[in-house]
Amino acid sequence: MGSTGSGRISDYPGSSPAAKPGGQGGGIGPSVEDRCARAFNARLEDVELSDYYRAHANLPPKGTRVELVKRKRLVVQTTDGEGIGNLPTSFNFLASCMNEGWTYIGTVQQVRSGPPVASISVDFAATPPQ
Amino acid sequence: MSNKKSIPLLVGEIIVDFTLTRPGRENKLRLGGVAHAARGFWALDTPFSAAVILPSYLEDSARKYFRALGCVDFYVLGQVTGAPNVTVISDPTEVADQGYETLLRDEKGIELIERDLSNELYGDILIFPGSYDLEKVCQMLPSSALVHLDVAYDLDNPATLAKLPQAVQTILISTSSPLFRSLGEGGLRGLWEAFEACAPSTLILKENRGGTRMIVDAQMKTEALPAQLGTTANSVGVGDVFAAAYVAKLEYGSVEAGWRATYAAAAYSQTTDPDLFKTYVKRDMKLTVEDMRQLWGVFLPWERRREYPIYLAAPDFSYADRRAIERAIASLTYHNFIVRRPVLENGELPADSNPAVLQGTYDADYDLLKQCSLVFAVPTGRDPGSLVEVGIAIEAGIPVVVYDPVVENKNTMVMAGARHYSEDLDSCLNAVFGILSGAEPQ
Repeated sequence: MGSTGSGRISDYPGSSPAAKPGGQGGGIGPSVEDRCARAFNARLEDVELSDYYRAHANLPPKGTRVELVKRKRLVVQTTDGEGIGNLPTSFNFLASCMNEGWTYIGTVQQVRSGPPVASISVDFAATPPQ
Repeated sequence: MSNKKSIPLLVGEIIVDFTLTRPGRENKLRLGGVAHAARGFWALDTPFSAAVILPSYLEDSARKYFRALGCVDFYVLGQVTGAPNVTVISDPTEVADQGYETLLRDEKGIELIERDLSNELYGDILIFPGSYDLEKVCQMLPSSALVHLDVAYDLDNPATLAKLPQAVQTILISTSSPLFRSLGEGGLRGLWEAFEACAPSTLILKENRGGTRMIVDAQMKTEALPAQLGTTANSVGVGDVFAAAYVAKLEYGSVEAGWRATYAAAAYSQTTDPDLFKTYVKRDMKLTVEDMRQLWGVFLPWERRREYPIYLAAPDFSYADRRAIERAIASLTYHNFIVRRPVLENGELPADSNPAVLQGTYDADYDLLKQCSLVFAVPTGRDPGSLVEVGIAIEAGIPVVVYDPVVENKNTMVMAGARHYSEDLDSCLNAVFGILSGAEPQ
């Protein structure tokens, strides 16, 4: 993407496939490359400080359905609204995506009680704004 | 921004950036120099004017390109002679020194063109020093304007800025900058003192993956701005976009401008697609500064990195294939981490060493590992010693980052036990910053 090759300057505004009529995604909406649209896996942070861990002294079972919400940080919570951990800050850009209407639903893939610390790995899929 | 004229003036050289990619992938060419900052203004929907120095062959294409970015007036203040103003970049992700090579740099000359812009009502001027005479260029510009100087490159002596006819409002500098490297021992305060002669109101130190620190309101306050780390597509010009976004958002105050600049810079690092970049920036600008503060990010100031020694678990032997190991060491030391190398520090033993010598070296390596804040493993050749060290660290609760360049250690215990596992050094480096920014110093 952007300027390719060395023959000429090609990274003009409107030059990307996402911005061309009929291109992938059309305009500034979702394109294959848009970071909002990507599915991802994340190992959660602060699991032992989460609502769920404190309430149950345990980790959610593998397969638990979860969603991403913005509290102060980006928090992963069960469908009952119990936080199970924070998303690493490298995913902070998702806050902007969520403001635009993107939603992220996921499933707990792995849980580990430690040592050294409890950890949860979650797979997420993105749903574009309605 | 001040109210004299609603659009900023961008000043500096236009360069052609030519980025070498891996064999089999297409190299990339785009306008660099102040073109990076111009893209920043464009992404923020901030019209701007530009006063540039460039080789004559580039003028038409640069003029056309800048017009497409929303440049209102395009002034040529000088011509580059004797060199094409092409920079070849070998490491666009800046995991270590980017290795800039400016073609024919020793032959390069600049002929300034006398222009009088002193009566133009630009309130804010963003200047990137270059090979040109900064003082002479500033004499062509309105003396009542506020100047924001990004001195990452091409400034040897900060004291010379006191001779400029304009008031210096902002100094921006980066930890990648040769000037910073020559001044950096004194920390942020030492840096402030180095620029005392030109009396800036704000000093901004961009610390790469470790975030940014600002001294605002002439030393009254220091603001920490965490980095927003993601997968780096291209780090060239990221600091320039920071500077442009900062100036574009100054009307909201320097602190808010700084926060918004970190997000714009992060977006520029994550794509070279201009439209996607703008999409990211426009989305991020809808976040409030309070949102940004709460989300936080990675913050690890330059000098604090020395407090977190990193143990290198690798076949760091004289006879081994050392390419990946050297790359990792170069990357960590470039970012000011102390890398503890057990093989170097405690000795490389011959294969037939007696048990007492082996035990002594094992003990010394073990003790060294326990003193470190993080283990960075490069277990090339599935080196058994490195993998044992990974296990010791996991059990001791010391975070482990595994850089596995040819994916030969894709094993459950390694991948799940380490805090981070990747074949990509950029990703491993981000993990080091992320882990240590939340760690207690050793």
